[in-house]
Amino acid sequence: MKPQESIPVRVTRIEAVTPLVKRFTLCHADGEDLPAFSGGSHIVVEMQGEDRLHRNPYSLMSSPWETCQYQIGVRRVDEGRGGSRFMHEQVKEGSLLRVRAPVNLFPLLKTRRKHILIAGGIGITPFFSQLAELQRLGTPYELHYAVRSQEHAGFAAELLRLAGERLHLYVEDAGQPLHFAKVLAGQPLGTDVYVCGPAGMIEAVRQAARAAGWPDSHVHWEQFLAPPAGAPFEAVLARSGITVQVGAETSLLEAIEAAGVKASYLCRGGACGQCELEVLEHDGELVHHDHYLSIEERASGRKLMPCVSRANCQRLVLAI
Amino acid sequence: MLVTGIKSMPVYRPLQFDDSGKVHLAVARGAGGDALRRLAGAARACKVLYAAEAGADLTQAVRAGSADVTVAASTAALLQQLGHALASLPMGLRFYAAGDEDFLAEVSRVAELHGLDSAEMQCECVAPGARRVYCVHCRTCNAAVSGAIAPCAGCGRKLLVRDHYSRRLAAFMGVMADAETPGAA
Amino acid sequence: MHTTFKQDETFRGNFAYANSPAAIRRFPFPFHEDQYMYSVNIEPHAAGPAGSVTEHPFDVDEHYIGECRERALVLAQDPGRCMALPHMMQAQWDTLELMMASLAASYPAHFTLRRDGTRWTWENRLLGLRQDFVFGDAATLPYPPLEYIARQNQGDWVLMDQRQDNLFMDAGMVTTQADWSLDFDLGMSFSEWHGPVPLAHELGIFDRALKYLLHLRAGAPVRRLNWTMTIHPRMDTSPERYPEWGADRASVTRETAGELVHLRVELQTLFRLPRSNAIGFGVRCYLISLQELATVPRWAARLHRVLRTLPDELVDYKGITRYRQAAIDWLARHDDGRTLGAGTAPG
Repeated sequence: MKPQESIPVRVTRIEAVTPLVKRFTLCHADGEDLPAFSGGSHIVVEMQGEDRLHRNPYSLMSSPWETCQYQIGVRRVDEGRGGSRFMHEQVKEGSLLRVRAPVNLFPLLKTRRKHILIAGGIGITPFFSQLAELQRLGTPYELHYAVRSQEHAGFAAELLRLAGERLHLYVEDAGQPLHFAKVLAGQPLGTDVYVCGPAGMIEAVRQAARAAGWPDSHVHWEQFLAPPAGAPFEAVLARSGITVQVGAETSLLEAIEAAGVKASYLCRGGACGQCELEVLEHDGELVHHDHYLSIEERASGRKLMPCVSRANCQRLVLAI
Repeated sequence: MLVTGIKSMPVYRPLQFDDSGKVHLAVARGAGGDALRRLAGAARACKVLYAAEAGADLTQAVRAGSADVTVAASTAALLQQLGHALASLPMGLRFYAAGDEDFLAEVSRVAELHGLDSAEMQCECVAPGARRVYCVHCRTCNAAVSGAIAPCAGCGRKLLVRDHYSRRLAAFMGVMADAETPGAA
Repeated sequence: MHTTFKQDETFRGNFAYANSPAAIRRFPFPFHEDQYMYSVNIEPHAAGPAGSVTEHPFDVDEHYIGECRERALVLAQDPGRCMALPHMMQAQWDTLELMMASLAASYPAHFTLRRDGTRWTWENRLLGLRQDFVFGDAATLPYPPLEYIARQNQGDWVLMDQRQDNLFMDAGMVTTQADWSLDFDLGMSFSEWHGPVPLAHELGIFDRALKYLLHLRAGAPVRRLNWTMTIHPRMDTSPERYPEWGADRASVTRETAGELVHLRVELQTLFRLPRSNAIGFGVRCYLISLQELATVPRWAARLHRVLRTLPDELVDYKGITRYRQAAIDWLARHDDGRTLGAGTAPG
């Protein structure tokens, strides 16, 4: 199977784990094994809606050694572009979806001697597959999991079974705040920290790590940016000879794809650099929302990441 | 074969206090004590381990520069104390080492064993002309080789020292120098 | 394609080695033009034409039995030619799974893999081997997983751990290399182990190649060709054994060049391994003597021109210096100066 192609899967089970989060179990629609993967990997799920195709990345929660099913957790986001709403409302047990083969942008470093895992809310999902790896490796670790309230702690029992006393649960509205500085203090040499959750939490962990003297090489994070909405704009695809209209709720990448033009992509969340496009011409300003381009590259006005970034221009010409 | 101009070289530099760290540990042997003195001038608090060498004993100067100095009777004792210290020091540590290449190789190995990576270590080499050379034929590490050609203490072959460095072995590559001379085998 | 497997080949000592006419025709001749320079000449490792060296992910050819025996000899002499850092065990199992599944699918007449959960049975009828084992339990194999399967595969295999936006050579089976040492390079990063390659760094080749490989995806392997020259069909031209083969380079004359000088082409393949997220790097070595090459006139003429125009840095790096002129002189009689046209086909 080529990775450009997607795999047909059938939804075999849906569980409501918390009021906002459902867990979906997926099996290969033709009964074949699914591709193996490493802890921290994600898949991009394609959902054919009525008026648009959604492509959302979701971390794999299942064990890398389970070849017959994948599991993903989806948090319902009402103000988003509809992908998670589609999953919650339109997808049923028995539904058919397509997924791309797993990719890992959040792996465990196997050369470290201890791992600190910090999760906020739905950010717990990539740690599930990492836990499966850690169980086999036997590397010491701690899992610190913060949820808003008890009703959002639906994964806690399962995590307790997997991680035992290595799990530390913090229920915020029960007055159990997660103090990052305390978690990082006194950790032995060779420890690294992994954080997945809201942007504010990631930034706070990074700052706490820096304040505690941890080098950047010991701090890892994953954050899937939902492509931000913005004013509609137009883009000229110079090589394809097409002009696309990018709607407020659509990303530039999605508009290019909808026009039938093949665009390279990987994470679809502004992190990996794979979809980078050369800007041949523009007036106005490029609105960068990615985590990939350097300050100089952004300022040059010659590069753009279409998966999350936009433009306030009358004229935008891209080399695609 | 390419001998000089190769891009894989060890990174040595004058030790510089790294205040992004929270705990500091410095080790030195012999003439490396001078680097410790310089470091202590800039450092606020730094634990120091020092071993003198015959002909290079800077113990007094090292003691004068720092409050927390332990003088080890030998390199072996220093390495043992180093391992002991690293086993209980926390993340946030910065590690500094000064000495000849052999000393740096030994302390780097201990540091890496305890989980330190290059972002947390600095090495200053006091005798850059004296290189450790790993003979790829008999796997012997030859200490303090100066110049481009040297005999291997392990197998006796004449070795050509290439500017290709292995951090794992903490040594430069030594390959038989005259193997292509007819009848050399 | 029916292959007659040579039973008694040697790659040392008496060098009992030859390519059949079929092996010559399928040889991966690398030169598209009359001059050679580096490039990031990576392409998808997709199935090539039937009978070609790229038809299957792992190529098994008529030299299979001889090469496996040669590898065993190298390892008996020097077990350090297969090494793995402790954190690479998952990558070793990924390698075993990839090679067993590929070989069994490509050559069902010679290899069979049966899987019942983690209880696997592997049969290699070319070497007369049968192994029942538990996938994931190294105690159930006679060697560690990488060594076990790489002893049954032609070509070297290097495992690269991906971390911190870099690749580290952290394990490998390296017995058929062109003058580099796994023992010495183990643990090095991508640009460190490429340190000795001249000119390429300035061209930015390694930066681009690294960026590309960091995004390599499972199910989408890639490949490229590399080349050098060897005296005698000697597989093991390691630095470790240089005292034994170094003198060969000085022994060539323009009369003996046809028989002694071999073009050595490496088919390099790169696979993303799923459970370790490591990259597996295959270096599959093909050897052909100048006189065998000359049975394809276009190739002899082209190689003549490539050697004549090769930059000095590359001549030196590829170890060709001492016999370059002898090889050029021998090949000259096969080059009538006509336009050869672009491409590598036998023509």
